[in-house]
Amino acid sequence: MKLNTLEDEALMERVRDFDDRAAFAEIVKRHQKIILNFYYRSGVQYDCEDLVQKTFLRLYRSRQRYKKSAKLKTFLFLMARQVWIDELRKRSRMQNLKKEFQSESQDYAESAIGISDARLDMEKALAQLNEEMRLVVELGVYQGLPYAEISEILSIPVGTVKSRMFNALKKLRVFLEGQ
Amino acid sequence: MNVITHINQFENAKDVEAFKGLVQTLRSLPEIEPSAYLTQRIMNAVNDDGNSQKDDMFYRSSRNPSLKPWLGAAAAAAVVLALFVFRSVFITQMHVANSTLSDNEEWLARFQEVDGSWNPARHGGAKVYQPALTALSALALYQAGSDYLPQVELACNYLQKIQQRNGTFGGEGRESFYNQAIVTFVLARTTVNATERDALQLACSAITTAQTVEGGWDYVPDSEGNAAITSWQIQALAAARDAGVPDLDVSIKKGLRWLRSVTDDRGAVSYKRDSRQMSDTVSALTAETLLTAGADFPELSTAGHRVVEALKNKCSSSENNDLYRDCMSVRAFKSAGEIDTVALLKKRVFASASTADDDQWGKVGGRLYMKSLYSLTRTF
Repeated sequence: MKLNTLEDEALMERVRDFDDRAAFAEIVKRHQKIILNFYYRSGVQYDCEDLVQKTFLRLYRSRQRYKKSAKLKTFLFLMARQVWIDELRKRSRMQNLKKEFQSESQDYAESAIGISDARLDMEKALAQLNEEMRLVVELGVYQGLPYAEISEILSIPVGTVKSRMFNALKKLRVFLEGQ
Repeated sequence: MNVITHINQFENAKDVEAFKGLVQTLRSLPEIEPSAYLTQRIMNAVNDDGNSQKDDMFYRSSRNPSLKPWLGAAAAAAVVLALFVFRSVFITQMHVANSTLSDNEEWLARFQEVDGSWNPARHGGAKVYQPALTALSALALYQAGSDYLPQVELACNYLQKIQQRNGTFGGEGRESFYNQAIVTFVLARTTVNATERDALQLACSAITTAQTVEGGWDYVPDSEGNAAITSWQIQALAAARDAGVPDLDVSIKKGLRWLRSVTDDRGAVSYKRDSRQMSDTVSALTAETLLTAGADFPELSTAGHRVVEALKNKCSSSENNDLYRDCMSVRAFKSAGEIDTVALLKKRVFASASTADDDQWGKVGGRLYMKSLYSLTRTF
């Protein structure tokens, strides 16, 4: 039994019970990319890795709260969401965030070389969504999580997950068809 | 339900295809890659954070703003001096203790049989407890660090191989109950894959089948339960539930209710409902069970704390060597948040360095039992 053969939950249990840093490093290796892209798709361009670091640090600090019956991925996205909310508060720009990220994304897009048109279109489309819708798309479409887990992570009823997803997909479709 | 099953529910077939296509496009977009050093960077932050948490007490006191500068300097000097003296003594003691402690795990790894088991008969113990002692040894190595995971896997494979169709792990009467509970508990703590989960589920079925109508467990006919084996069975079921085995709540609650019925308001635990027989080991097992498996029920937690309080008053006056009692007490004190008592008890256990010859259960478990329980006492 090597660390890289253990399931996420078994690794996290080792972290919780024995402060096993090697097990935690394995968790980081497995999930850093999905968390990095979670922030990237949320519109952050330049300090994604700082937020990834904050997320894993928060996971480590919360290790005693972890229960083996919970999926680690669900627990990790709970942390990522909290880090994201803190970040939004810290920057004190909740109101202007969408606009700011849109322009950040635009600057990046204009200076980027070799990024496909499809990706740029999609980034623009995602930027049309409000934060609530984008999180539902992130967790449901990109991470492929069941609605029950999304409901747990976002603390909203499954019915709300469904309606946000429907509205988000509709908005994305309208935007992309208009391009 | 997920996004695709959700889309399939849309009434308009055109919408279904269009939304599915949209989801596919979204998913096919390339992702960005983490930089080569991101894992290392995160682990550096985690290591700094973990170490600073340990030093937090010192930093808090040394930053006390109410101290006047000269008093602060004097206090700092005293702390440095004290730390220097403490460090010299501590390092010497820890060096001795650690060499002995890591010897326990090395010894266990060295004496594992080819089939993955540990054989107590080779080390002065009783063969009938081979499943339970294999499980405890595996748990000791599991808790000791990542270096021993291959041995743990081998042991878990062995335990699955010896499992019978009815979910039991061998032995008769008393031995079969302890083997069943301890093996199930350890499999639940170390479970990593679906095959092991199947074995675990079967093991739990055997436990729930053996539960009495009143909610307890006992290996004596016509008994509604005894607190020691009932505690172990509840802990095994609770660990299995945490590992994902479904439908165990009713059995766990019944067991907890029975266990609560043998504890009184002063924190004393009777071995059986109609008995006045008591022991510190049974109290420790009961306390641990009430505090962990019963954590969701405030009344049970309170009862667990009462048992721990009563146990605390007796733990310094124990005369006979009983590593099983001490190991279970360390767990219970830790679960109750009695960190100072845990430290004191551990110190006493490791200072005594008792052997199988002078231990209460030495003849049952032999050297294997001593090695695994010393290791577990350290890591619990």
